[in-house]
Parts: sequence; C-alpha cells; structure tokens
Amino acid sequence: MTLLWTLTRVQLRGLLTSIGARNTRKSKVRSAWLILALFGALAVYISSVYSFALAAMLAPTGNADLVLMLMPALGLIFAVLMGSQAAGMFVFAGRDNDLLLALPISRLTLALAKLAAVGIENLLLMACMLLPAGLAYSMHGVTPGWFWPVLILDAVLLALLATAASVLFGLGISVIRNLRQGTTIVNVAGMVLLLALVGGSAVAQVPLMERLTSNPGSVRAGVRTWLAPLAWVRDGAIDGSPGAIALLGLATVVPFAAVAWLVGRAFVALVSGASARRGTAVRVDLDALRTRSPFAALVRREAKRFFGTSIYFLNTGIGLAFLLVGAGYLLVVRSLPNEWWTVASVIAVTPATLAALAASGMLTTVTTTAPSISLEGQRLWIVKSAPLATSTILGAKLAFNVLLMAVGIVPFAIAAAIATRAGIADALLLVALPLAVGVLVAELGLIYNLVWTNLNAANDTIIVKQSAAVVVTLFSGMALVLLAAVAGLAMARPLGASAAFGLVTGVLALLALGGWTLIRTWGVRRFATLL
Amino acid sequence: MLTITHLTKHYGDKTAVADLSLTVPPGAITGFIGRNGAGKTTTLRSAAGILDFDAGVITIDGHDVRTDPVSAKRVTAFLPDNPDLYEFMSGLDYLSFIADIYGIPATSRRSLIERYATAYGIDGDLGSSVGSYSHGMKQKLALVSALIRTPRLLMLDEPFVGLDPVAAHRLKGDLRSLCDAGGAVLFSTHILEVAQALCDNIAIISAGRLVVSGPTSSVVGDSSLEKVFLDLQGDSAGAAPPGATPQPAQEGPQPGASA
Repeated sequence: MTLLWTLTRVQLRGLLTSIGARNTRKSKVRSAWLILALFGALAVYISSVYSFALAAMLAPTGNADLVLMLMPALGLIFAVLMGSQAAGMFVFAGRDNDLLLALPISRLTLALAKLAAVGIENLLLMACMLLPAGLAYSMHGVTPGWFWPVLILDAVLLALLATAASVLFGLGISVIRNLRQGTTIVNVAGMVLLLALVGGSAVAQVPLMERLTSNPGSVRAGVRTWLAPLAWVRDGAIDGSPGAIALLGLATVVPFAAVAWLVGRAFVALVSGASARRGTAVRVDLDALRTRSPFAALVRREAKRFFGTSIYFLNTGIGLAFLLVGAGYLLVVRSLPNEWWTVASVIAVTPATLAALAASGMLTTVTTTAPSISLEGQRLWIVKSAPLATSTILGAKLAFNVLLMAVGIVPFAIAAAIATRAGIADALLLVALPLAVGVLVAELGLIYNLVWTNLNAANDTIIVKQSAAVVVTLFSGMALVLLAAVAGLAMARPLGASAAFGLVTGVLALLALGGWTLIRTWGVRRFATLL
Repeated sequence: MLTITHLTKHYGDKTAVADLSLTVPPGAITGFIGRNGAGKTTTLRSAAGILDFDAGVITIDGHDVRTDPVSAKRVTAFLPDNPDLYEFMSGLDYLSFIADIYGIPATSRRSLIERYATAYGIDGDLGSSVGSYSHGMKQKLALVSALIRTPRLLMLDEPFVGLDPVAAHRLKGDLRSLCDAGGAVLFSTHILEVAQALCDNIAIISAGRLVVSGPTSSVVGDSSLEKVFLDLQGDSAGAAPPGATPQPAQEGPQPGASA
C-alpha cells in the first residue's frame, strides 16, 4: 500500500505538472492546483445552478429526488471528457513510462497508480457535482443520517466508473494520435463532439424540462430502465438501500478493477505498441509533391500548426465552430428567435445588423495571430534564416487568420441574410462588418504578440490560454465590437441603421489599413529583435 | 564568400562577440573552435540573419546581411546545434515547406529529397510526424533540408552531435563536395580531431574575440589542434601558436586533408 500511495502521489504530481502553467516545477504544481480549483468551482457553480433550479421545479410534484439521478449523469459526462484527455496524454503517453517500467514494481501496481491519479481528479469533479445536488435536494426532502456519507461514497464510486471509461477512451485517443494526421483527427473529432454535446444539450434541454414538468414519472422510469446506476445513487442516499449501494459498488468497482487489470497486463504492450506505431515507416509518394509560392507555403504552415496543435485548435477554433453551427441552425430554422426581432425594433436596427454584430463578437475569439509568434518558440530560426521578407512572414499569419474567419463569416452571412430576409445593404453588411472587425482584431493580435512575445514557454497551453497577448487581444476585440455597436447605434436614428453601420465598417477598414502599415514598419523592426 | 568585419554583439552588460573579423573563402571548409560561451553560436546566428547585432558588417556573396538580407539568405543554409523543427509536420511536409521557401523547382525537388533522404537513412521516416523523431533523426532531417537547397554557404553549429557514424561520414563527404563545387562551409565543433582532419582553415575564438585564424596546417604546425587549443586557453594573452600568426584566412581554396 505504501508503494502504491507513493507511486500515486508521484503520478498525481506529474499529472498536475503537465497541466500547470508556470515554468518552475513548484509553481507549476501550485498553478495546476489552482486550475483544478477553478474547474471545481465551475463544476460547483454549474451543479448548483441546475440542481437548485431542478429541485425547485420538481419539488411541488414530490419529485425533487430526481436531482440525485440527473446531476450524477452530468458529472459523469464531464469527468469522462476531462479524464479521457488526461488518460490519453498522461497514462499511455507519459514520459516517465520507460523509467517506471524499469523499476521493480508490479504492472498492476503501476496501472493502479496511474489510474488512481486520474481517479483523484475525477473524484474532485464528481464531488463538486454531487454535493450541491445533495444540498438542493435537502432543501425539499428529508435527509436521513446516512444521506451525506452515502452521497460521498457515491461520488467515490462514480469517480471509479468515470475513470474506467476515461482510461478506455484515453487509450483510443492515444492510438489515434499515433496514426498519420492523428492529432488533427483527434482535434477535429473532439471539436465535433463538443459541439454535438453543446448543441444537443441546447436542443434537448427544452423538451426534457417540459417532460420533467408534465410527466416526471416517465423520466424516472427511463432512468431506472436505461441508467440504473444513477437510480441506485438516489436509492442508496435517500432510502439507505444496502442493495442499491451494493449494486452501485458492483457496477463501478468491477469495471474499474477490470480496466486496472487489463492495463496492468497490457501496459508494456500498450506502451511499446504506441512507440512502435510512432516509429512505423509510412510510405510517401515523392511524385505527389506540389510546389507552392513561399507565401502559400507559409500560410499552409500556419494551417498545419492550427490543426496540429490541440490547445491552439480548440481555444481559437471554438468561436468559428459556433458560427458554423449558428449558420446551420439559421438555415434550418430560417428565422431568428423572436427576441432578436423585438430588440432590433426597440433599438432601431435591423435584425441583420444585430446578427452582424453577434458574428463580429464571436470572431473576436478566433484570433490565431495573438499566440502565433510565441508558438514559433525556438523554431523561429527557421523563418528568420530563410530568404523571406519579414512582412511576408507576418502577412502570412494575418492571411491565415482572416481566411479562417472568412470560413465562418460567409456561411453565417448567407444563412442570416436568408433568416432575416435582408436587403442588399444588410446582406453586404453581414459580410463586411464582421470581416472588418476580424481583420482589425487579427492585426491587434499580431501587434500584441510582437509586443509580448514568449519564445520560452514550457508548453503551448501557457501561450494559448494565458499569455498577455492573447488576453489583451480578447478584451480589445470585445471593446472594439462594443464601441462599433455604440457608434452605430448613436448614428442609426439620423442616418438609418444600414448607413450608420456601413460608416462604422468603413472606419474599421481604414483602421485596419493603418494597422497593416504599423505591422509593416514597426512590426518588421520589432521582429528582427526576437530570438 | 562570407566576410565578417568588426562584429560586435552585447547581451545586456555581457559582450558575447567583440570586434570579430573573419573571412570564409569559397572552396574551403572552415572550422570554428571555441569553448562553451566563447561566441561561436552568436557569430553564426548573426551571419545567418537570425540575430541582430550591435556593430559590424557581414556580407555573404557580396550581399549585406543587414541591408539585403533576402539575397544573402537565398544562398545560405544554416543549421543550429539543436534544430527545433515543426513537430506538427511530417518530415516530407517540412522538406516540401523548405523547398517552397527556397523556390526549388519541381523538376529537381523530388530527386534532391530522394537522394539526400536516402543517403542519411531517413527516407522511410519522411511520412511520420517530426514529433515522433529522435534527436538524431531531427538532426538528419535538418541536414537534408539544408543540402537540398544547394547553398553557396553552409553554416553549421555542432553538426556532428547526435549523428551516427555512417551519417557523420556521409556529411563529411557532402561538405567536401559542396566546397569542390565552389561553395563554402563554416562549422563549429568541439570534436577537434574532426576539425583538424576535415577543415582547410581554422578559426579559434575565445571570450568573444578571434584569437587565431588561418590554414589548418599553419595553425596546427607540428602539434595537434587539441594541444594548440588548450595552449591558447591557458595563455591569457591568447598568443598564436608557433608557425601561425593571427591573420584572416587566405582567399581561395586551401588544400585540405581529406576527411
């Protein structure tokens, strides 16, 4: 047990260090605990909001206990999503695998230690989801003496189940990553899954709420039939049913034990297999080599970095994904929500103008330029030693960002024009205003990254999520959209909404021209001092 | 080919290179020797156009690195000591990227990549992600990416570190071939035996200053490069060894021992 606990502590430290965001080991662990605490706080917040609202809604019909069936489901989904990422990168692709396998430790102990580290992370999440649900229930129902101890036990058991699922998913992620273009596949699949979850929950939320209100018994029956372990959570905590607790124990401990045994037995093969797959020769067809201009090659390089770097893709691509999902929604529904029409008429703008402003706001999160120079890191020597004008290098970064934005703007503009029955002026505005905002924000991102460059970050996460350039660009973009909205609204009554925002777009375009001039002059001089 | 005149570079209060003047003639391999922190990497990076410098003039094939950097870099290939490459690309993607940047035509691109990738034993790995490469494979990929450009000036920082014996032997042959075709090579190394056997000229730097440069035979004399180097490190005045005086390398190819 001592050995297992020692290994688990080391593995947990390693897991925290891999997500920590500072450059020294101690500060990395501290920052990782902070990140975990923030996740926990977010989980508590989400759980509290949903739990208390659900409990209050269900209490009049005597169904407040359904909170203890539904919130564990949400907790499991979150835990599996987060745990899969940790398992894929840490359990199977951990850099300490060679060292650990060389030590006189049984494979099972090693597997248990790795799984336990992921399990502790999942336990934190499950506890943060379940305990607020328990509190919400307690305000409407009786909580016997065993309620809280059983609920805590339930959190531990569900964490085991989530860990088993996470490790299996993580294994899948690890295998796919080692394929050709594997990282890109994982990134795109992850984005699609995330969008499906967000979109699906948005679509399913209303019918579920209606069903909970009108026929909670059917939801209860459905959970007992198809998701029995969630019903056992409720039965064990509220009724104190030993049978429910035992069944939940079986349903969670057995899969965990099975996965631990499987990983222990196959760990060497799994790790060796991953190494072998990485080292497997992949045939290339030299005849298929294409030639490109240097500028096109630079833009392609930006694209490969974007799709090939998970945190970069997910962080800067999510806004684009939402734009595309929005476009799809508008094309299907062919109308904006009624509230949009109301707000538009109150503030004397067209719904198309509102949609253009919304798209502009979304685009401020799609700034690939803000971390792009820092992400070059110590590889900056490649382009700096190449026969390329600096303005070409910087221009390619800008061009890729604008291209990416255009991929979102064009479909959204078409869909919004149809949904709002926009005239020619508004239809043009739907493209021009977000594009002008996008170009200017992309330039700001590049300028800020030239000012605050970090070529020595410990990992890409620090650059993409926490660098000064990224944070300032995000807030600058929001401020820009707000200013554009205020300026347009101020001029809307005398000039008309389309003319007013057309003028705003023109000003933004002029500012963008100025931004490019600044990049071509000061930016080029600044770039020469880097590295 | 490469002319460095009065190069000076400071990092804050520290002077990394002080008033260094060096000429690398075409047709010759010049070895650049010095202790850690002596200023070799700073000099090479300044010449490659990666590092801005405080004073001096550097020209490559007549092009000033500061005022006409694109022309200077077009004829140059530089390899750092620990080549960080794009891990999100495959080996072939990276070579194709370099070929696009340097405008290598389609007609010759395929044959150059095939020739050098096969020679250095990475032809079977070009389809894999650079992130999966070992240090030696990255080193080889970086070398291949430099050689396919057929540069007039090849500058390498510690090129033999991490190379297996077969690849190291191949590299020596390629460096000699490049010089025989009229190009020039400047490389830094700590492996003095290789430098003595391979280089036509030797330049020794200490504490940011060039202490001796000249034909290898003159610098080494009847001694060994190792002894010369160690003697120079022990001599605070940095006096030249007997048989060689501190002088710029002579123009024109210097007869060099074969590798």
